Amino acid sequence: MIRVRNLTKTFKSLTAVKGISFDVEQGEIFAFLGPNGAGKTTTIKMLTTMLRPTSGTIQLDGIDTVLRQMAARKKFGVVFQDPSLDEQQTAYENMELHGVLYGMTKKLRAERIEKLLRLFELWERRKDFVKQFSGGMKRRLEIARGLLHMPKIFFLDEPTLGLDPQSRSQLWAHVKYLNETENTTIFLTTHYMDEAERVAHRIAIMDHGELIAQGTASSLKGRTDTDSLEDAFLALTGTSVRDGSASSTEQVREIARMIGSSR
Amino acid sequence: MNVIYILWLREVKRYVRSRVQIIFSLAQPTFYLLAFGLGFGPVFEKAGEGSYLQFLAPGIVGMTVLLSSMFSGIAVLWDRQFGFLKETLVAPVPRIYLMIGRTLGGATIGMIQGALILLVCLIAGFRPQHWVNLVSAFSFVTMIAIPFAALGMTLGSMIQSMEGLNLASNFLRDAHVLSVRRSLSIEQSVQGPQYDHAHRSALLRRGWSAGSTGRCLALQLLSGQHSVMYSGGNISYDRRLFLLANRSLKLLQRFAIRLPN
Repeated sequence: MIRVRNLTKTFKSLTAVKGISFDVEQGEIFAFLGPNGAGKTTTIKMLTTMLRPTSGTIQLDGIDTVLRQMAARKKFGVVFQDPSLDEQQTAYENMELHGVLYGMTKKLRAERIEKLLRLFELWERRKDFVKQFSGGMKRRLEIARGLLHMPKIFFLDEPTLGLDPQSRSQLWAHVKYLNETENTTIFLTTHYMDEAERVAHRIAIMDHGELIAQGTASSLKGRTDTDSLEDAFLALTGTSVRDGSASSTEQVREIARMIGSSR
Repeated sequence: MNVIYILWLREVKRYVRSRVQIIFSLAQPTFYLLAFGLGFGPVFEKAGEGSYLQFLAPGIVGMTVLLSSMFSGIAVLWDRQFGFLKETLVAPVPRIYLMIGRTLGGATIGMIQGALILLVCLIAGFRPQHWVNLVSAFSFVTMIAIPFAALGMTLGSMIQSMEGLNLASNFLRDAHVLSVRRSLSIEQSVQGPQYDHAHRSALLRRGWSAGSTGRCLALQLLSGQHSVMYSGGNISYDRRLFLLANRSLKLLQRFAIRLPN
């Protein structure tokens, strides 16, 4: 379903993703783990056509994301790391807008919106503005929205960041349910090892732009001779803390640009 | 088509829902109208130019349309901040549709603002020379609203941060003040009795186009339109707009050079 070959992304002086290759089968839940700045988000951005790869190919359901961008975009739904809802509109309007953007017919749109809002327990609040929603409700709405056009592939970039344990377990229950009933392929990233272990069929670990391990949670534990996925993760990626991608040179450059433009 | 409609609808809904914002955005032009209208009115009449309100009102309407179209275009920056932009960017929709939908939305908002301010002017005592003129005024104002909404959006998508927005809006304000100042000085220089109306407007137009040769075809079209609508005293209205447009485009070029990405 997802087929990635020698995927590379180079920013000016930094190679964020260094020639990674992997496959995800249809109906699989695939977790992508890695420390901050490992290149996970860059990879997701390339998979979702937000960034153009420097080299290498991505195929979603057999469609090349660079050559046939529009066709590829119809195949997937995505929940970004940071919220992407329109807070000034109601939950229903957000869903409606998404349906129109993805070219769904009016009838299908109405049916599907009701089904998903009911499933995510937001139907009663459909006429409320999104700005009044709690963090958990916003996340649920985003997931419902991402699934509206019945995508074959669903990308989730750290979907549980900042949620309470109740919302988290409920969210994963929904995701699993959809994976089983609609046979959606799910590609997720997270920092919570227990979630990855519980939900994902297969796990890949990324560090410094490279894929350093792939396999089921038990095979990763077996390979590193550890008891928990967290220990396996630490054994594979080391214990030193990573710097985020917003380096100081980047910040200086930003300031320089601001001063430059004011002259 | 649906896509353009829903994006247009979103802009309009957002505008209609923010009532406080509507009131505050009308406060500034109303203030202008009152301050200048009451302050300069008597002087203007003494100089033998007739009612100052008649002279001022179209300018205020035009400025309102221009600035509110442009700022609703710049709102694309907020969508970037709040993340909604990404939702539209990954959708299987050509970018040009997103642009058209938003531009029309921004232009519509500018027009509504303009209509509201026109209402204020009418209440204050402004009367168009002929009511039929409102029809051509409408098309004229549409032609201001659309390019400036697009211009605003161009700025909004080039500026990456909120700090940048502050810089940009300071620029726009400066540009505005400068253009008004320059238009006043040109006006004074051709205000003498030796020029009749036709001669005067030809001079003014030459002054305008010398500064902006070939820069924006749409705006040149507008210049033809004005003479149909506003004869005599209101020439400064559209020239002021053109000078502002001219400045903004220069600024845009400057931005485009300074901000490579």
